[in-house]
Amino acid sequence: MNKADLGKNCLISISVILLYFFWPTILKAFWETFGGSSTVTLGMFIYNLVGYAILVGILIAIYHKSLKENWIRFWKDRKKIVSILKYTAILFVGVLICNSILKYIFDIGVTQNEADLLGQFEKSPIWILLMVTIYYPIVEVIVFQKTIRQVIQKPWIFILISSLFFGYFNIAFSKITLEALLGTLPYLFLNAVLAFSYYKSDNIMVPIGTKMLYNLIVTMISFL
Amino acid sequence: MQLEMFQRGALKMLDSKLESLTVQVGAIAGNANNATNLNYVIIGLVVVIIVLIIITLLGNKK
Repeated sequence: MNKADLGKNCLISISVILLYFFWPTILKAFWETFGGSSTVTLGMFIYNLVGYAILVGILIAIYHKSLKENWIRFWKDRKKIVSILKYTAILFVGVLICNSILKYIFDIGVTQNEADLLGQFEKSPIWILLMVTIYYPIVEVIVFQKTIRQVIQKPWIFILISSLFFGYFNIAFSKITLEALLGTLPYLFLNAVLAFSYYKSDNIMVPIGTKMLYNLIVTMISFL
Repeated sequence: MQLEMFQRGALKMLDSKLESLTVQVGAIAGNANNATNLNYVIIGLVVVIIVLIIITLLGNKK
């Protein structure tokens, strides 16, 4: 890849990252401008659903060529579908170990991010189920992995930067304490496995599929 | 009465075991994006953007 292409990719990546982080603020500003209620209503639910679907649409439109090519390649190769099951199993074992270390060595239970998600689930289970099984896997894999991969060619640097990026932003919205920093351990592991699966398969559908399956199972277990 | 107490105790224990299992399996891979302190987010974004620009300028091959 020449410098001009790398520069173009870098610009697109930065735009996608900024769009992702400021999209909720943009949605909120529009809602308030047009006099939307501050309490949770069906109107707000539909508005957010459409708003987040638009973001998914924008991101897919930006990377439509490579996503389409990856999609076709994914369904042609059965090994890639099987690898989703393999990486999901790795995630379960790894996260179980990470969480056990946190709980039994550092006495850390649920992280703030996890608590927020659980709180949102109690308020609106359908909403959070859609978010964790469709929105997060598509949008976050594009934002935290594809954007970084477009710029960083060296695999191990890509995995490291992408994981630090994802881990940090899972605690950046709350108070950053030692407990919160330690709580990023499962997130670092999660993203490292997903980034590795992306690098190994050279197909973004593998980390997206893995994250969808993993989140679906965890959500089901958590709320049974 | 004793049976009822035993059942209650067993249920309580099962409940705590399940809670512990949920905590351990947990870690939904998703960002709740519940902004209480945007300063850290902005600092993080600035760092990420600078890193990406530096890597682009330096150029990096496989």
